[in-house]
Amino acid sequence: MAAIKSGDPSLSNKSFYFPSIILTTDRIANKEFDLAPVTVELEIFENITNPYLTGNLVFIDSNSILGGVDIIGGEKITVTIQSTKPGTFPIEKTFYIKAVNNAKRVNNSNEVISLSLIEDVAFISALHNVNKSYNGTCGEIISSIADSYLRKNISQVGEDFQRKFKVIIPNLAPLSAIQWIKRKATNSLGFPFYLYSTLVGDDLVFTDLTSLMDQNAMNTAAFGTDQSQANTGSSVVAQRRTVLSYDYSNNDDLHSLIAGGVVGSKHISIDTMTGRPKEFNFDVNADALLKYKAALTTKDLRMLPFDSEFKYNNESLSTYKSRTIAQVMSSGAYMTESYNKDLSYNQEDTAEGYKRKIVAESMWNFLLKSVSSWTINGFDFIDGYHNTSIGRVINLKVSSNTDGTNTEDAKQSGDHLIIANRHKFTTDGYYIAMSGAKLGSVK
Amino acid sequence: MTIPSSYSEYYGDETRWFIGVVLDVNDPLQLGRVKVRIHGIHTSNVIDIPQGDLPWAQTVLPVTEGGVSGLGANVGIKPQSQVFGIFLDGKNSQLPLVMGSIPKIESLSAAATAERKVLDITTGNVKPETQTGTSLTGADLPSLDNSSYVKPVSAVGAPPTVQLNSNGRKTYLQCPIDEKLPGQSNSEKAFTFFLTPEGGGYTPMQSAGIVGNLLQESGFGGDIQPAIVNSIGATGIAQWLNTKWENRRDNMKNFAAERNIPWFSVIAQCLFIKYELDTYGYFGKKGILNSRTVDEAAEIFCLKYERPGAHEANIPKRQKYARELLEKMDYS
Repeated sequence: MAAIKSGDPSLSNKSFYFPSIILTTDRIANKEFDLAPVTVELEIFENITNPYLTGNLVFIDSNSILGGVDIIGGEKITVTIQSTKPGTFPIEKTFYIKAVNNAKRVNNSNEVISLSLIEDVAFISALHNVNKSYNGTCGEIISSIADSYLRKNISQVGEDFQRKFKVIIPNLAPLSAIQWIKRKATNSLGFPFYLYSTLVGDDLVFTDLTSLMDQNAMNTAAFGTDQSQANTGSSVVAQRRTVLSYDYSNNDDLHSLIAGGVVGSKHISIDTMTGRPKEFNFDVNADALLKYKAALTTKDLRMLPFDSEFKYNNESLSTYKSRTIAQVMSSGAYMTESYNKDLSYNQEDTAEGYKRKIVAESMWNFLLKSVSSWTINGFDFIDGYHNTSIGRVINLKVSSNTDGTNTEDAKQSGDHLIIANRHKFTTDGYYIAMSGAKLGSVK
Repeated sequence: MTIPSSYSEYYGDETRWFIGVVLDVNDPLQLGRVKVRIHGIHTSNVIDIPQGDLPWAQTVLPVTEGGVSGLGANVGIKPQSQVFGIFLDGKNSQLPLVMGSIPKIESLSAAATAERKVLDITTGNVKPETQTGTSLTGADLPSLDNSSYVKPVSAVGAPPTVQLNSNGRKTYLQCPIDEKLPGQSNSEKAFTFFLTPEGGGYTPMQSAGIVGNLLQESGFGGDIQPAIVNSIGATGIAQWLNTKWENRRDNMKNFAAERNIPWFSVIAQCLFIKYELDTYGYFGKKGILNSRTVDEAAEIFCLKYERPGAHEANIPKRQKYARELLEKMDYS
């Protein structure tokens, strides 16, 4: 697809600027280096499965910064990005240098340095080991760990359903511990929770799948693959909303999902305290997708990522128990009365409770079943006052393959949950490579 | 360690074994479960993981036992035994199963050797321990060349640590055996003791709740006094008394004598408190371990262990002492 050409600043490298990119190191006290004037490229990566950002910074070193500062990894880099749009706010993120990717000499006085960055929360997390007992709900324990080890707030959207439990964190870094606890959390339908860090915002976001998918798209005018709107004769907004590249690959692998047991399976939860295993069957259609469809208030899904009409020997594929999965879920580790006053990490009160874990596992996988990737102009995504990236829903219009009709491809168009972003700030402009997941269609 | 992998496999495919130390064998459900502090998984820091927060581990019995309907032998594992087991939930490491005990040499090092020395009250010498089962730590036991306080257990009256000062008031000298226990005062020594695994592994709040009570019971000159005896014969830091129903004062003295420790020492009496809490559920150990505030711990210890008359209880005062101690020890 062709690159957009226009004189409007929002379509060029004038759409943003770096007020500062400050490098500091404890080795050289009271001195900081502003890399903003020499930076040629900054990439920042967001992912809905990661509670921290990563990045790459490329700058031209003509002042012996690499050698003078003696970068050894662990130096702090505070990036400030500002949109040129009036009324916007600067975005500030602090990273640590994770590694020096490479240093390539251009000539006798210039070197191109590429640094690998990791958000401060991840670097600080690696310094700690959590080996401590907790008693609370998933949200409470996650908040407690984030606050005490990382000085981070957790912004929770959606209620985690599991009741209080006791747990001893078995030697994990705080972020790993948080993700481990998060894995237990589901909402009342059994849908999983996600924990992630965003480019705009200081808190870690802890939210459930229903809350994520039940949002209206943040854009009223769709981003589209129709290249005719990229013409300089079109409005600037239309040009900005032209998808520069689009990719739909390695998707809809139902075979692997069936083989993994997330379409239909039999589960046995063993409690060695009672000696009575709890058995139940899982059917993705009845236990997960139909409930998901009913839970959405903002859209009426007509097509789901799995259809019970798919049959083998007149039986729906989801009724086949392709896996039998047995797990020891409880040994009454905290049982001191005749009933389970205190639950342990994997323990639940009922078979329905255990089924929620399977629903969560299945929905986690189904969310990744159909993922599109596209690149767009980033001007509309760095206002700086609210998150407009991962965890938000964006409407995408993918043209059908019918000549001349300019109709939408119903499968690939529609609302997508943004699950990953690669923000690329370069001397050419600001672009985002987005990955969006689609869990059903309204058409 | 990375995050434990997803549970999608057969439970037997992911096994993790461990070695640990048994801390509690008084399973409230009487199913032979034990509390184990597992090396490398449960830090020895009792503030981060108090004993009360450790999971109950089920135990494996030999195939020669019945296994159903309550048939078969009881679990014989004792506190402080070293055990081997596996986690039933693999790397999540929340569900320990004890498979057997590992005999160990109990005096591996100089420190460990010292830990197994006890006082001989008849000679005043430190000697190797001959009894089993005692948890008295003797690493810091002082030598007792001139142990004037050492008297036969049956001696009547106050021990020689009680003296009259220039004003004619009683003062209590510190028992030499307590001198090397960490802490500036008897209260601090007792507080620290209850934090240790040997003392029960209580949290600072719980330990302060216990010692706050002891300050109310035997407080004199701002400190707990192990040698104090009141007008009706109530004795020691917890003011144990003989009644027609129970002889806790004599039990305390005998307990100390069996271990060759002066009964009027802080260590002897703290060990006796631990022994009573561990042995008799009605003294409220479970409640103390489950308490989450210093006030709660102080109240439970008062009501369950001290069991004073209503007019003597004065729980707010015990709680006040406990809070003050906690603050003094920098745990508030």
